Amino acid sequence: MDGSDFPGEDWLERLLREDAARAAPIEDAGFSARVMASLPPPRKRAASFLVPAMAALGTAAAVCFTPAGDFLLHNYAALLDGRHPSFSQLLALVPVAFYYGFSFLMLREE
Amino acid sequence: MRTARPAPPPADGGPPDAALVARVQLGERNAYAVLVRRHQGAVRALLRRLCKGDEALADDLAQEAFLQAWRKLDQFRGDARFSTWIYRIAYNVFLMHARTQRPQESLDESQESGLDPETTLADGAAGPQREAAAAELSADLQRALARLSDAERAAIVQCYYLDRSHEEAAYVLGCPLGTVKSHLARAKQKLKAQMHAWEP
Repeated sequence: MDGSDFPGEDWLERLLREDAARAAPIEDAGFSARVMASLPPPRKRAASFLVPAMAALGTAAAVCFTPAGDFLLHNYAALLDGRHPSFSQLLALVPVAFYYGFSFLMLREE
Repeated sequence: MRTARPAPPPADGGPPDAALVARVQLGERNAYAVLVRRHQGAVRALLRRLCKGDEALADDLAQEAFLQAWRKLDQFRGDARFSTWIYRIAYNVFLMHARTQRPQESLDESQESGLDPETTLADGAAGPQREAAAAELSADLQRALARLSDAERAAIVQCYYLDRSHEEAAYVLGCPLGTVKSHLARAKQKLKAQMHAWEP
């Protein structure tokens, strides 16, 4: 097509491009302000101490109010002794690991 | 076939889209206002064409598209231009709306051009006559575009009105490259049949 910027384009393609070029730009006319006003307010981020604090609270509750409390307490005390930990002592860390892990995943999901 | 091109520098002289997106992802709300101002015209123009000129509906859908983009912005990885990404969201918003609507209403077939297309767009035509012819051509094109399927119309808008590459159009429309080409071929065939009066 004569005068075309796109070699090989046919008359219809030229008409479409010319029509596109003629289109007047759309003025904002308050549209952006309406969009910004419709956005949800900034979400309050969870405090960084929340997860470890909740984990500690949950562990304390488990120790105090469940039958496993004696087992956990005994093994945590043994771990704090700093000697080579046994398998059962390490087992006491599993609930804590689960609690931290799931709390972290939940916060990340949110 | 044209390929995807890098984002051109912003016409408003501000920071590039990628920098603004990064600032929004860090929580800077004002950066999103700049992005909205920068892209609102193109997004609204796209939706107006998809909505067959219904400006109020197009603006509502555009607002919804920017709202969805805000919510999804932390998922934006920069593998496409921000403009392409927002077009995709806008197109999906349009599709969601279209699916809730009744089948497309038939168009007014009685609207015919009162001008002679072969002479009025000629280079030698007088100014007012050329403007009238251009307006008539635009109206005829809009009517012809409105008769296409949503997918065909969207492919034409992406590739000719927004000057996107076929690959970018495929990304925006969420379909394979070959499907875009099929849509374009079918759409052009239909448009040529309806616009034959404008053929030189």
